[in-house]
Amino acid sequence: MGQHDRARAKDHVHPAPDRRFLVRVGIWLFVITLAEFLITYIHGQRLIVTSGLFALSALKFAMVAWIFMHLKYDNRFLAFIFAFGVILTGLIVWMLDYLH
Amino acid sequence: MGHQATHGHHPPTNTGIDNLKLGFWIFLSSECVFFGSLLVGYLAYVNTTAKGPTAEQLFNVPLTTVSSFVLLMSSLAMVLAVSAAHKGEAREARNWVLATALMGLGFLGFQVYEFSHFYSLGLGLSTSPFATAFYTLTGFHGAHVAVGVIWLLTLWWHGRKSGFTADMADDVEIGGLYWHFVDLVWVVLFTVVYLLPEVV
Repeated sequence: MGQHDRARAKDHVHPAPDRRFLVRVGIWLFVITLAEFLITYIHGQRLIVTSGLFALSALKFAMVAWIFMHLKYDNRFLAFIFAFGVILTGLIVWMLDYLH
Repeated sequence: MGHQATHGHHPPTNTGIDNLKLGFWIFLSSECVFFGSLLVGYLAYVNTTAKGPTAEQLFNVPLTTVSSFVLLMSSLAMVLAVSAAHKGEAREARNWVLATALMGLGFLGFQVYEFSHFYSLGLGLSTSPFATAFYTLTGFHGAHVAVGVIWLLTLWWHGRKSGFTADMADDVEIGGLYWHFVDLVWVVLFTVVYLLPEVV
């Protein structure tokens, strides 16, 4: 294995997923979005519904980032870089919203 | 070796990660902060409607849900394009890229309709702080989608003679990262901007 192959191999730590798996993930994203829409019709349970919405949204976010964006299959340092940005953003949103 | 057959050569790097990919992830990380700051501005002014129309009066959640489906399915098309490109399936990759771009255009069509409808209901850019914050946040997202559509159509055009060759697989992948990020932002915006007002 040459130097170029070693550098390239470090990008992709694991083999990429097959197409059927990707389509199944797409279907799940569709189902979760539908669930998010339907959950808004539940009246009265504000805390549960709000928590459910955030949980479903976070799940979709994780699925797209982890699988579609290949973070699961790539070098972990890339996931660290993106996670840093997401966490920093979360902190900023929380702090500014809290201060306001 | 099979891996080398589907990817262009890259000089060795200190991190072992392709510099283009590394740099692009750093860019996406910074874009998170950009959209986060716009979101904070929206959340700060969401109730400052200055007697203009409110979110509850304006938003058509079923329609926005459909546009969200379209953007999500475009993300699926994009990942299938990247998969095909890495496998050296040149023509298939190009077709999926075109499908992604067309769905992106569909999403933009929904946004244009929504903005023009809101404007006709009295929500101009300067009607209220809520209006400004809403149009700024969703407008910047729409602009990112538009840039993505142009990028994808450019990629599609470049591969018109023989589809995406092996050395274009990385270009398709970077384009895919951008497109998925745009979708990720919408995942958050759809929940916070459109769905939460229905509940809270």
